[in-house]
Amino acid sequence: MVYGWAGRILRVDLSKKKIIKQPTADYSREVIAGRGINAKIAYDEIPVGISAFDPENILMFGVGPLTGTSAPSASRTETAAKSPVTNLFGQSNFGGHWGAELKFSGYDHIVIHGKAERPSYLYIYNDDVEIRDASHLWGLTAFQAQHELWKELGPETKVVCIGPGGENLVVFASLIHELGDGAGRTGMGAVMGSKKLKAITVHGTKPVKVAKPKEYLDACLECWKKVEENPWFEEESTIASNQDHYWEVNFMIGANRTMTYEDEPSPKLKTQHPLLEKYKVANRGCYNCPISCMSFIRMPSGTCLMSCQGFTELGPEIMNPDPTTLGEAFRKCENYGLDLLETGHAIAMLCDMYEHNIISKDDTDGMELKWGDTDMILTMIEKIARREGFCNMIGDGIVKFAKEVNGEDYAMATKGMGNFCFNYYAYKGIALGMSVATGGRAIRCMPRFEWISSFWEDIPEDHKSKFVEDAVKATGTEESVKVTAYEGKAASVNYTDLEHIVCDMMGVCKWASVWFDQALGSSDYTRLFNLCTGVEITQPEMLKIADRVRCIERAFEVREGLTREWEKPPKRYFERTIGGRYRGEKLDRAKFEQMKDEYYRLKGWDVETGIPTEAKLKELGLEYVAEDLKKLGKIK
Amino acid sequence: MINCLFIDPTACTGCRSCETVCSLQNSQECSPYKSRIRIIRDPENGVNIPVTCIHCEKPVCKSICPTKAITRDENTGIVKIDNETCIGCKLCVYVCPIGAPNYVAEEGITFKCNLCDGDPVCVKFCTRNAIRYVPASEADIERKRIGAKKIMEFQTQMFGASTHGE
Repeated sequence: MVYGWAGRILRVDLSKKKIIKQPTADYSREVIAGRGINAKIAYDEIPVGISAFDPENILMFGVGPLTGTSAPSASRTETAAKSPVTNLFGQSNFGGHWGAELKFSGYDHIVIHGKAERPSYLYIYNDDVEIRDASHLWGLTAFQAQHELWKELGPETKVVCIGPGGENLVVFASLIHELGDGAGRTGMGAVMGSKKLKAITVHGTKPVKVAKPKEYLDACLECWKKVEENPWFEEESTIASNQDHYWEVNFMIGANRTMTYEDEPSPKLKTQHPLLEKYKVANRGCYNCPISCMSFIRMPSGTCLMSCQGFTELGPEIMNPDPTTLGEAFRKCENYGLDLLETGHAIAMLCDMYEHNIISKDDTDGMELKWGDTDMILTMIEKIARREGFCNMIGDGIVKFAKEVNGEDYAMATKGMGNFCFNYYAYKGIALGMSVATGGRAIRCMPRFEWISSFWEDIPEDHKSKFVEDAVKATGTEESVKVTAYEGKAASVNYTDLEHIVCDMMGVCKWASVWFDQALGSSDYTRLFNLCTGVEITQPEMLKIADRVRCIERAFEVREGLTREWEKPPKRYFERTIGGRYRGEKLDRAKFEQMKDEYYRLKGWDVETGIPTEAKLKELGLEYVAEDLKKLGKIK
Repeated sequence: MINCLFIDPTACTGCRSCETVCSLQNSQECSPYKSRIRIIRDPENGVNIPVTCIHCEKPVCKSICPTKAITRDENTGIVKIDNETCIGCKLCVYVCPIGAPNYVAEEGITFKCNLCDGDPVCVKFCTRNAIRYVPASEADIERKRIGAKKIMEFQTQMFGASTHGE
């Protein structure tokens, strides 16, 4: 009897039209589920050096043993493949109701190999799994495609699909579920498009079994209350994240290119609140979530969901002062299946280049690029998704485009992917986290103690001393609480990284934990995991498994050529300074590299190369990885 | 005292935690199909309607049940199906005006909300108070209050809020 896990992995080979079901137990002991199984299968089975669009790339959807149960926010699916944006490890996570439905169908994981001959969709209804023809869906937007599938298969069906962005292999194309839950980063939608797979539909009626039902329910209620009582709960449960406030407090638009660095944050660019005031209908929630952070909005062009990301990138980053344009841009990106963040980065880069005469009307099909211009923004989103005209090159990614036009400094990117909008001048720890994160996923390595302390005034008094205590315990120094300090940041990044991985293996949302200043943490999840599955592990063991997963991801990237050299923010953050609250701050090259040394040392990785050492790999039970890396000459 | 579940669809976010905890409490597993409450969702229009047994005073399900498995407690108003006596004929499923009972093939019997014998678990988890456990005679006041809310806000703005809270 399996508890928690559904017990089966669905393996689909689109080339051979073969479907097999594999026991989750083949992997669960080593890497539990979700992000763990993704890492292991990617490492073991994706051939080194292939293009992300080769049929040999493997696209995975993984949920955790807690997904579909009564654990807080037990809704998440972790996707992975080799990324067409970075050619490193691609990973992106989405919520909504798809992941739970996958558990109800009896699967923990879907692994997609090969490439279909013609547009297809994967149909799952309990034990019935079929590769079906999707020619009537190909070309439709994400919302249109789901509308058709609901007509065909009934309203209880849950769908994840791609829009024109994914079909046209825009490298930063996203996966979309319902009206806006999206897995945006690293181009998983493009990989799905390269496999000619339009959608995966899931409907299931099976239960998720729980080892200790009464104790588990009680523990879930306790955790539920912890989330509800968290100081950030009220804000998060109304507007997801308060981007307008962050804009003011942090001058987050450190990634904003054109503003001179004496500037103060402009209130004109605080568009999130006006947007929600005008167009928001109500809050909507992912499966089993106490927070229900998503805003259901009704724009002139139609309805959609917004949650925590995208306000900055489609608002202040592209100097867009208009709430209606923000909402329409949001909806368009979701509907066309493009990563909101990378799309914002692309538009910002193009405007920056145009302003500084790196490109001109000759390069933009005669289109004038003006910061914050509504028509330009909405037209460009569609052109990018359809790879039309000059936007075709943008479809290959901002780094490639920048190289083509000799404007490499304008592509604000690290390891091939646009820098997540952040004030890297001031936030030393986030600069480190962004640089070393798997796949360039900055948000996964946002050091808790630095990030939360930037809202020092918002932290309740009775929370402050505990916060500092936790910081000292985790990092050894109170300095880790200071935004602009370099000390203690390596440990802070590692702390958040591992907590994040635990959530991604459990199949739960980080808003109930990591980003809420640890409303819940690995100790809570270990307890829930034990009661749900009947397996008994300790919190240190859970964190060790998380570290193992991290090292497997690292080894994958090392095999693909990752070096220490790649892991740094663009030089702009070292050479200029920023205005706003942290006026005058910038990154110090030597101190930054020292932080990296400290991080690698802490991780048990070689300080010079950033490659896990043989000793560390052996400690984590990854001898076979050590052997591989030795054969490749990556480890002496 | 007769209490009932007061359901406010305008507050429901469609998170379905009620489904998960109901099935976990009452069937020891997590499954919408073993839950005695279901959320009917329309994701395109953002509408969510919780549907569960409303514990009729003259339950049609009780009248139709061929084995008298369904009873109503006069004191609490709770209508429940006795698992041992139920033969899974599904007549109650067909005649209920809102589809409250659900037949579970795996168990061969029909489930229905029994208000967790007076301590409903869905209410404990519903963060938005879309489900509340209230005295049945006052349920209409709850609905009227919700309906009047916008007008009350407007009036309060016009007259000025009270200072009694200070």
